[in-house]
Amino acid sequence: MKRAQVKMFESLAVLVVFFFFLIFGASFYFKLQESSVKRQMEENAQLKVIQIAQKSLTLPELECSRIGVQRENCVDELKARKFAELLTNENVQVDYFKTFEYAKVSVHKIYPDADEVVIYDKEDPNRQESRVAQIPVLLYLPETNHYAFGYLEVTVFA
Amino acid sequence: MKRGMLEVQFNWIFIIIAGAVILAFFFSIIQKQRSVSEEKLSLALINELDAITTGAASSKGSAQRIDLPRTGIDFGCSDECACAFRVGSLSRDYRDKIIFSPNHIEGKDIVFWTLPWNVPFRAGNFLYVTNDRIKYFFVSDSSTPSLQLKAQLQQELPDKINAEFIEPSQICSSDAGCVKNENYQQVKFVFLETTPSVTTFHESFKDTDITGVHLSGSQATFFKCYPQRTGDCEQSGALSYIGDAGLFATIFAYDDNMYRCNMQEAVKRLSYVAQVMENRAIVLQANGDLLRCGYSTTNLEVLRSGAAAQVDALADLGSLTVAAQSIAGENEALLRQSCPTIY
Repeated sequence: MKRAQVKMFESLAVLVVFFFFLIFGASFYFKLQESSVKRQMEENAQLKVIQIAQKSLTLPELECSRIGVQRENCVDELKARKFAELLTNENVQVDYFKTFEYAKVSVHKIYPDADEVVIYDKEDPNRQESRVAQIPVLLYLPETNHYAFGYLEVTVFA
Repeated sequence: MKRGMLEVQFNWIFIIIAGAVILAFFFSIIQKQRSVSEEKLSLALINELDAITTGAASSKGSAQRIDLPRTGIDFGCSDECACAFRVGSLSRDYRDKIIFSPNHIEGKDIVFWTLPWNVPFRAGNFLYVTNDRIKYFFVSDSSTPSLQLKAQLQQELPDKINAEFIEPSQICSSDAGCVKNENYQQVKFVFLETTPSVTTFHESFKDTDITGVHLSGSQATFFKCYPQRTGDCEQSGALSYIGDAGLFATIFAYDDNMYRCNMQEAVKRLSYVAQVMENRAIVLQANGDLLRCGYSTTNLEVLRSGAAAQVDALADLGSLTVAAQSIAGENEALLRQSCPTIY
């Protein structure tokens, strides 16, 4: 082999090693980036569950109020039933999609007796995963003017 | 040419080409990374803003100051009422949030103020957005309705809002006694039950984004003057408002389109909330143990159907006031009888 050819092969070998390290480094970096993006997406999904739960608890369609003063973490059971009935109308459901998106929102009574009112239920046909938030609430029963214990469950398909 | 010289020249050409390839490779990676980190920053900001506005919209009667991204935030609604805020190249729609804001906001921080829209029960929360680069001039005269509205605003506007109360004579072009733009990005003139004069501003307003609203009765007429304007300002058709939160919505909305789009959403929600209240009242009315309470659904029905009829035109929201006041009266009567209230 001639001297010039050997020199050329040397230069090429340096380039090959250089690009090998570069690609190795880049793939390592992109792997790290990917896991950071996945973690961010998970955080966003969890934030979405909390946001929808927070919105549900402060909805005028569900809240307990007396002369306009809202009671914290309280759901009016009769309002919840009537709101659930209203949401059976498809047009209304479309309007409330902006609030609940792909989620299931239900109110569970656990004491003195057990009961459940499913207010809104719309599954995302493209997603299997779901995240759940349960918030303990006081349930106001206006017909008897009494309170019960329960929880608001929000399942978000994201 | 000798063989050795050729070899040296070939080496240099090889080095230049390889160097150029390596430089181009790194340059493209840097460019890509730059755009990715800009997008990431915008995404983080927009997510944060979304979370902040959701939180602010859920907490009634609060005013909070939040740091603003360097690029500023754009707010706007299309003619089809697709409302969104934008940070950099990314945008996020309002979804169920009712936001009244300037079209662009920049500066050090941003003020979010939330008020419940009570008609008479809360039908939603309105979120108002402003900052210290936006100035509100409230123009009032000596008539009683004008002074009443001025007194109400002086009492209810939070300190964080950049407001100044002036007389119509102060909108003039001379240097003495006329209001001037002290380097504000946007200026809004709010005419409180007084005829607006929108053609005689001081020279300092020439390059300013000027908007305004004329409030009369329960009607609001918006106008907009463009920077470097040469003629009169553009005036929109009259839209109506109801309640204190509705009054502030006319003040903080950039233009008639932003007001119309957000108010339509709010009125639609009012009709749904009223329907839930009406159906709840029907159950209470039929309850044997509560017959002494004398529940009535007439006014709730009027409010619900009235709101549903007003969604598109927003022509006369003031007409809902009578039903709203009657419901408030019924609610107080129920409270006095120790009965479960309507709201």
